Amino acid sequence: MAAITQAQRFFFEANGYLVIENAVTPEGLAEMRGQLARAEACWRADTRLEGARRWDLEQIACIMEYDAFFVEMIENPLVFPIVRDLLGPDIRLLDHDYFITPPGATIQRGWHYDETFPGVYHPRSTMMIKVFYVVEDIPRNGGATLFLPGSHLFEYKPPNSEAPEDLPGAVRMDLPAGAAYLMAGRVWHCAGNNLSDQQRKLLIYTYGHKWMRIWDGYQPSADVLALAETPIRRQLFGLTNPYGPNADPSAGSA
Amino acid sequence: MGHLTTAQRLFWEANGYLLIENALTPEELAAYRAAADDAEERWRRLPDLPGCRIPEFEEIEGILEYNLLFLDLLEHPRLFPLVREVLGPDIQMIDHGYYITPPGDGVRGSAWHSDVGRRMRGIEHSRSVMMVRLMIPLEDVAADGGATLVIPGSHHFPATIEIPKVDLPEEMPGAVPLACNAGSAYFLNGHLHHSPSNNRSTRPRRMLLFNYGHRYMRMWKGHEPSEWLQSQADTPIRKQLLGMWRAYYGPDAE
Repeated sequence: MAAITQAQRFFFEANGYLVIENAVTPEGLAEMRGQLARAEACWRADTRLEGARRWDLEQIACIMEYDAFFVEMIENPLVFPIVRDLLGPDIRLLDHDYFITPPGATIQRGWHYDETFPGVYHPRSTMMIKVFYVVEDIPRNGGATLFLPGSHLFEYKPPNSEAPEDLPGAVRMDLPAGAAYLMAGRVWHCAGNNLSDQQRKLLIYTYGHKWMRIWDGYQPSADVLALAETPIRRQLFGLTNPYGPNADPSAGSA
Repeated sequence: MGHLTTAQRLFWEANGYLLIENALTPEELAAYRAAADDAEERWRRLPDLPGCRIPEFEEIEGILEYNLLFLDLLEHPRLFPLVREVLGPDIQMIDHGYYITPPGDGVRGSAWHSDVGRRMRGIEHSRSVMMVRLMIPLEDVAADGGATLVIPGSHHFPATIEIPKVDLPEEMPGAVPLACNAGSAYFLNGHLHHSPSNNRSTRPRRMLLFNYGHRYMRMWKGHEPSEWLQSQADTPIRKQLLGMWRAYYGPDAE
């Protein structure tokens, strides 16, 4: 039986994004915050660790490498079945990050697509879905991600705007902590300007199809690969036949 | 400047395949045939080597691993630029083999398929070009000699079109047999519906196959290059073809 409701599917197909309220339980959110704080401290203490260290964005790349909690989150039962329904049974993981956007971070003409791959007719294809978990409440002026609804179906490249919020028709993901939003890789989107006094914190997983290569630099370590104990996790990590049968998500470890 | 003539490009776009006469010189053909014979002898002598060993079809899988000559053929100057032009500059090898189809009549109508249709979810294949399969006959192939059958224009079929069910592949309405001479070559859009046909001649069909895709795609299972083959990738384009190039970021190899 599908996990996604008809209304959710219809909304995603029409708009290219979907909000899931209560994507983690209050207990899960508390654990997520604790784990992210530990990962952040580790990343700040060791500048050799992967990621972006810019004034307008701090990216703790490969978040799964920091704790098994982040591996478990790939299959969060409140979100993963919906993503799988939208993307298909050949789902795999492509990348995973923790984004911290400091107060004062601004962006100019930053609207873009994630999917621009050669050979693909993008307006009718869905190669990737990105899941953003909201770690702390995002105020309206707090750098919320902006989407241009329906733009994943556009035949043309939409216009940009100097300030992200000025694009006509844009909607912003100013959501409470514990929510998640899903984004089709072809939807026209942009980070908003963070004019609040709070950091914007997002835990991000990008899913694709198992015939796709993993994002550059995200090849799991041996420690993470050792956690691939079920067929679906093996598929998510890219350890199965890229063009063969799909894993049964209900199958347990051998 | 393009390598395809206007007539070739129009034929390709309309039909989803293209035949190139006299692609190999007689000397090249003789050298590749000798290399293929050596590979076949080794493959028959060592039954653990990968491939398909059924009465109606034999495949020596991973033919690049047998002789460096085949690596040259992967970027043959009269073929590779044409394939690269229809697929794109992010071209990568996906799989490679040597097909031997003995005389016989074991092929059924269920052999009709598209290479990408069921194996690559998420893509609107009727308007995308995800794979291009290059076939190089090492012997003349008559229309009744096991020639590949194609439905011209079927690469534009949406997923909703059902291919008729037939008992024998040759019974498919509109099917065209790709009869060809040794030293010629043809390539197919990965979404073109095609089938092997029964070899009713008195000699085996012998065909080299190189299947190309995009560098963000994974290789066919078992076709990842060995350390030895990787060590032979001494140019940027060879590195890209063998999957030793970044998957998503950065420029394509020259």
